[in-house]
Amino acid sequence: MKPANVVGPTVRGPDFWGREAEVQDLWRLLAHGSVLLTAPRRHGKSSLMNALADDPQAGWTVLYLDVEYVETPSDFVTEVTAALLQLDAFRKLLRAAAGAPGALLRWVGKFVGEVNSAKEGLGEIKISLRDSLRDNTSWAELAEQLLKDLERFEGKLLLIIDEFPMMVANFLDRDETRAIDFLKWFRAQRQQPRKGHVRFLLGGSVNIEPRLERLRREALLNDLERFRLEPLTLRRAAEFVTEVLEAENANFESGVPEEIVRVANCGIHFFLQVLISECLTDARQHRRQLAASHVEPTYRDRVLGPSNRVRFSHYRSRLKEYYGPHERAAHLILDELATKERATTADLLGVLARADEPADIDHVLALLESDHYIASDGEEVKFSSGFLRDWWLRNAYRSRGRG
Amino acid sequence: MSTAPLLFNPSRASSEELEATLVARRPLLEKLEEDLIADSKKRTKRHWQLIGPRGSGKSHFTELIARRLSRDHGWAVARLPEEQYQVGNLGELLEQIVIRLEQLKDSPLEDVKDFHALEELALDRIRAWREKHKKPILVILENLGSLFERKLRDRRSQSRLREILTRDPPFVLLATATSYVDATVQHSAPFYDFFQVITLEDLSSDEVTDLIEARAQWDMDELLLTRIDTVRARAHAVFHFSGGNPRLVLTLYSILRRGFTDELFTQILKLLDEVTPYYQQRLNDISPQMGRILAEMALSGQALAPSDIAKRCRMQVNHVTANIAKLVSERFVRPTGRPSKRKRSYDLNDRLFRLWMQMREDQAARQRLRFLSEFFQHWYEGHPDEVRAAASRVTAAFWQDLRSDATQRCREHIATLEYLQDALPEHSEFLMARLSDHRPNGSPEAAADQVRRLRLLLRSEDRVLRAVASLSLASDLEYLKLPEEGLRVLRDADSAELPHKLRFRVLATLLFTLARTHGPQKAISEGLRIIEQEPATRWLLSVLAQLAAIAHDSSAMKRFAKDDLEHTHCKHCASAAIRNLVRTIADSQQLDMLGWIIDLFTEHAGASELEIDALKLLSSPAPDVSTAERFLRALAYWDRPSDIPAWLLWSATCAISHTPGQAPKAFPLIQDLAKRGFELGRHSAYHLLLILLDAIPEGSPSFTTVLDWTIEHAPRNLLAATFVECVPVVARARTSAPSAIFRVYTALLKKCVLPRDLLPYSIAVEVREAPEKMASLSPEVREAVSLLVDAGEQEGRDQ
Repeated sequence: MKPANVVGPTVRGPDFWGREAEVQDLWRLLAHGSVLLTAPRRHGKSSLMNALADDPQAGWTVLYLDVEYVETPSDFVTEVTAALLQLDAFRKLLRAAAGAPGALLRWVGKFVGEVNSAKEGLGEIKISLRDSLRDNTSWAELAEQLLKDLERFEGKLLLIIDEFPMMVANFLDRDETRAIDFLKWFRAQRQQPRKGHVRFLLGGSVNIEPRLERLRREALLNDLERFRLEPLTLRRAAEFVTEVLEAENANFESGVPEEIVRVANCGIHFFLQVLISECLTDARQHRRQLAASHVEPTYRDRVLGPSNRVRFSHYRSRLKEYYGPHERAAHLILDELATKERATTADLLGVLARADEPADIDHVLALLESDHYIASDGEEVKFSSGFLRDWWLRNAYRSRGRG
Repeated sequence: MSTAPLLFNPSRASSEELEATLVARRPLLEKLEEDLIADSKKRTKRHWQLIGPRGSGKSHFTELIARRLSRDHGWAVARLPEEQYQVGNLGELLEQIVIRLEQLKDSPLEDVKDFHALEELALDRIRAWREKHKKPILVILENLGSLFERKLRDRRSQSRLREILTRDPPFVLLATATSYVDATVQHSAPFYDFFQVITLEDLSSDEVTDLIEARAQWDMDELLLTRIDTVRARAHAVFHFSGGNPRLVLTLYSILRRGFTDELFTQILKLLDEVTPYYQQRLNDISPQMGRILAEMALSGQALAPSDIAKRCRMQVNHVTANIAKLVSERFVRPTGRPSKRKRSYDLNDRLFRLWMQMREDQAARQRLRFLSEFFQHWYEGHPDEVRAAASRVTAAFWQDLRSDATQRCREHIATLEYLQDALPEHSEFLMARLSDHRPNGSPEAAADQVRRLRLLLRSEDRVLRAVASLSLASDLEYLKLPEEGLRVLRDADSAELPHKLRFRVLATLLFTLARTHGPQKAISEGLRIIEQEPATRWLLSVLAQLAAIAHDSSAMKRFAKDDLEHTHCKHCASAAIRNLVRTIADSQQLDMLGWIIDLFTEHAGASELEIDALKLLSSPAPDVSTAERFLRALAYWDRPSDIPAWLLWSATCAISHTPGQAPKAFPLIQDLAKRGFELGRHSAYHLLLILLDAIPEGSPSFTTVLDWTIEHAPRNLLAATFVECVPVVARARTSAPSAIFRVYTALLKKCVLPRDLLPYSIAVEVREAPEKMASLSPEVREAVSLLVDAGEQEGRDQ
């Protein structure tokens, strides 16, 4: 089956396309330890994590949890435990330990018996666990016992925690001390000299590290292996576009896929699919075959134009919201890269000097790179994607940077 | 008859109606249906956001997809109400889904107090239901923006809902929104680009036609279906005003259905009233700053650049630009042509909104309603016949209501005529004129009755109504041989505050009446005095040029005409002035003076080559050729009579019908004028009588044909009054006329057009048969009868 044009939502099964190598790489890394998967939003992290959950390697059991809405460590432990209780193997493991003393068994005992196992819904389990965990301090002890018991789990267990940084941000917002305690505890658990039965794959688009840096706590995630999700190569991108157009039964002339990739000038599935979607809409409205000559006008008018302006306006608003005193410098640098395509640090320093903007250029470039605005290319830097550059030029250029 | 389209409620419509009236969206609907079915068998679970402004057909679309899935594919559908009054948090949202899915009256979870517990338990029930029934579930949620902005505002609720919808969602969500919702476009928001978006674009012009036809088919509207070509022609105007928004298209469709009544003005106001809740809702969807920008754009009446808007709104240009981007995505405005690379302009997408806004925001009462001109202009574009017909209906209604003393309604009719006139400057010369042309004619008694009613209107506080009443009153008074009172009435009616075209007509009527009663030189002096006192009235120079032509003063005519054109900036006014002058010269049969005007005619009146040739022919010296013959030759330039310009047709009709022996040749010209929608007024009635009175040359239409057509097309009382007024003049001018007069009198008497006791004709007939009766007549009757009978005897002797 060919991939449908799914613009935005997580893709799975045949719609998940062109990431076989990344899947294998991840399994290889997970064999050695837990992993932190980072990429901007809509770049395919959740789809990649779902691919691991949908098709685990032999000997692995995978649980996928989206925890963005979890606000306290107690809730996190509740979520993980409730999800584990859905696994027969976990219940079996707990039943084997029945009668042994311990807070964990007291907490989950109600759901361990075989008789009840099929009756409760996940929601009911969560409510019960949450109700009996009103004490906010006991989660650590319970979680430690849980992880210890999981050492006896049949096979290996991968816990995919999607939107982990966002959950940590929630913890920090509510109670900074308790959040740091959680991160310390979590790191300690990862570093326990255990058999290696349990691995964590932590994913998320929000970069939590700058915040931890400000708290001087960046070391709490240092042990995690990083996995950076890269775009498709342009050649693979053209194959992808071809398959999507075929799956959509689109009436298109030859050369269209290559033109779409050339115009979008990037290999990010999402951007390609936005352009595909607009091209298909345009062809439908005009009741005509999609031709290569239609692609660029559609890109200029529809993708970069007013109708999508709001959709991508965060590229500009993010600087205002998060860059504080560095906003103007970041804007100037992006303006320069939008017109010059690429520039050296020295060039950019000159730009800032001429604009009388005394900024720490290395720091600003690091911020822009970690937010995926730009990418280093040897001595030079450039926009991370042609799409983003075009968007900037059309919608944000010189709107602020020149004061 | 089905529900009025504006109140169209898809949930109450039958599936057949929904299918039959779905236009332009079918490919999208079928694609969504296909995708939903495909997704239900795949691991990828997409959720959908249907974006379109209010009235774009979202409810129609979702209702239809719900019915198709349920009926054809065994899905369960839970449709949540748009208002979401019972939803305060995520748990309650899920609870509402449970209630609809299980078709319960009350919530089975009403005892659950904790919101988080409610979430979990409701989810368990939905999952259990799906497990039990083995059916995919579609949840339709109207107004996603309101849900995220008012109910699930906190990040936790949105994150949780996304989590529910992500890996193993218990249902597929199809949400609607009027535009991109902040919670789905903010990069840091949980639902950032989460939904697969379907956009309902505005309809194209062709699709607007399709929708009107589909609706008419469904409503089995015979009236519309039988004149579908007219409806198609009108679709352009519907498209223009609706901006392609289906709800507005259907609103305008309701005008198409009702047809154009004499209350068009009221209809438009009613329409704008009907769309008020719709626009108010749309304005609720946007920020006050965006509303401010929209108001300025609407009131400006033209496309504006952001810098212009910034100046008008006293806002910074970058704020304006940012807000315009949002207005574009909300489809309130659209970019228009780019005069320069740096300066793009924007215009309102939906013209009806402009009209609505102008009506509400513009303080000046006159200005407030100027939108009507725009409406009429587009509505009647390319349909001059319909304009005339509409004007006729309105004027007929005016006189009808005047007879019923319905003053307010008279005012409305006049207002409608004014807007028609503003909207159609190229036709303005006849629209207001139609009011007096259409005035009921007839006996002096009827005219006196009319004078009585019109005098009542002079007491009105409404200056416009007073002026219009004065125009007709002056005409009636002149007919009743009371021209001095008519002149006084017109002088009183004049005011600098009258709308320009109406004031022009008042003063022009004053001067022409003066010319008829005191001679053209007197009228010219009066005109010059008015201009001297108030130089802004120098547009009267065009009237003075006509008066000079009537006075045979060619040098004054040229001076006035040139001065007028120097000061006239409106091309329609210049064109009308030249055409009127040409017609005055032609009517006064001073054809040699036409040669002078050819250049002006070419430059200002947009004359065609044939028209120029005709003028050249008419003005060239040809002493042996009669005026009527010259007109006949000029008319022969056109292959089709329908292409002959109106001024030439009128002048030719007059010239030919007044020429003994040629008059019947004017008959087809009058028929053509009638075909073009011109009312047959006193002049036409006079011309028809002249044709009937004339000796009928061989090959011309027979007397009976002319008579029958005349009686069918001219009002009987008008014919009778014209006969009484004009035949004595003819009898005196043509000593050979009496037998013809008796023939026409007898024919009209037989057709009951004339009364049996019409003196002196009734007696004269008797005296012709029995001359001895003459002696018994009273002296004054005898005198009149003898004029007719003696002339007849003289005629007999001559023969």
